Parts: sequence; C-alpha cells; structure tokens
Amino acid sequence: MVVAAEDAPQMALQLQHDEGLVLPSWHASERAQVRLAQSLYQLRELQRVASVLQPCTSSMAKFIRRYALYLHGEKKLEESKRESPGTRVPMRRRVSGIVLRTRLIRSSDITLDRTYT
Amino acid sequence: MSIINPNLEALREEFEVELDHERTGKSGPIDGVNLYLYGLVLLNLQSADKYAEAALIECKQLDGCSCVYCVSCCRAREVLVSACRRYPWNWAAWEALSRSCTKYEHLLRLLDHRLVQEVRRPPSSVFITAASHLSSHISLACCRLDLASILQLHARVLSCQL
Repeated sequence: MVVAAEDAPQMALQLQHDEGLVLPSWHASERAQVRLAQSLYQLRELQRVASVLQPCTSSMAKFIRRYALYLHGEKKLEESKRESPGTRVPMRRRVSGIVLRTRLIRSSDITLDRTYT
Repeated sequence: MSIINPNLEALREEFEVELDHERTGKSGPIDGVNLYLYGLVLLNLQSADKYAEAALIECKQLDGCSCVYCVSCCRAREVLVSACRRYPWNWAAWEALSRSCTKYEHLLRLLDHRLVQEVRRPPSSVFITAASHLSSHISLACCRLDLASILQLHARVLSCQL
C-alpha cells in the first residue's frame, strides 16, 4: 500500500489511536527554548539545558530536560569515582595512535574511553 | 563518594507524580520515551539497591508468584514493557528491557506473556529476540523468527514510515 506524503501524518495519528501508541508531542511555542537547549546540549551544558526547559510543558521538552538531568548526574558520579582513592581510573595512554573504545562499566551505562597507542 | 547518580531520586519522584496524574486523569498518558527514561532510572536505582544481589536470584515461577524481584513483579521491567508498548520503535527501550532480564529465556517469556497476548506483536520484539540470541551465542535457528508474517502485519506502519 502506497501512502501519499500528505496523508502520512493523518495515517500516523490513526495508527496511534488504533494501536494504543503514545508518541512524544511538542508545542510550536516552545521551539525557541528547544533550539536553545539543543545548542547548550552540544556544548555539554547539561544543567543549563534543564533550567532552560524548566517552564516547558510538552512531553518532548520534558524528556530532554529529564534526560539532561540524568546525564548530569551520571557525569557527577563519574567525576566522584575518578577522584576517590582506590578506584580503578581508566588512563589515557598513547602508544601507536589507535583509539579503542572500551565499555568498562556496563551496569551504570557509563562509557569511558581508553586510548591505546 | 556517592555511588549512585545523585539526580535519580528527584527524577523518580517527578515521574511518580506524573504517573499519579495519569492515573487520576489530571493529565494525558505519559509517552513511551518518557516512560523509557523512568524505566532507566528505576533500573539504576535497583542496581544500586542493597538488595541488588537478591534481584539477581532467578525466580522459578515467573508468573503469578509473590517474589519481589522476579520478572513479573519487578517495577522497572513493568515500566519498560509499557514504554515498549507505547513507543515500539525505541530500540534503546528494548535493549534496556533485555538488559534487565538476567537470562534470555526470561526475556522471551516476558515478551510472550506481556506483549503478544495484549497487543499485536511489534516488529521490534522479533529483532530484540534475535539480538538476545546473538549476544547469548545461541543459534538463530533455535529462534522461531517469523519475520515475513510479522512485517506483513505492520505493512501499514512501514508504508507510512517510508
């Protein structure tokens, strides 16, 4: 079955209704905040992302704010692990320019980079 | 030194409030992406729990038992299953669900009991089954992958996506 491009949004809404899907929604009025949050996220300013999106009510903006908070917490956790004595800290070593990404901590979803050379 | 993400508790409380609002009808249903994040928060809280070891104990009777940590009773899995049902194209939610199951048989049973019986089987459930087989080094021949029939069921969805 081929669906014309202009019918696709309507079809998607119908399917959402038929199958009990709940997709994230967002308001056009929050476009500026979301774009600002996107730029801040690329700069890794996670706390500022959360504060920019604080007044937003759409589910997409809420998700971005909460995810930024989650990532900020993970970052702080990683930093505290690095600072504490007796913890195995991944060292950045350069041996021949080959960079390997090693997943060290699986359960907590923190990916740390290790550089071998 | 903190051994847990310091924002998890605040996020959990926020999600709980929103779920309460959903239950009482004050707001609409939470979307699948937000539910996925809630499931992730619960999984992390559970792994940091002092009973984390107990959570790894395999439960013999997966359905209808009173064990707090078994597959059917675990809150994080419940939430992740809802997230997968509400937004089946979120592959990260399926991966988190499979990670929450300590044995791949549990995942298969979870998929069979919770998803197939209540809603039409989403195509992602077939793919996560295949991925679990691969990660467990089990031959795909053992897995009854009926991709064609499942994808036919979702032909409307796929044509819409294309």
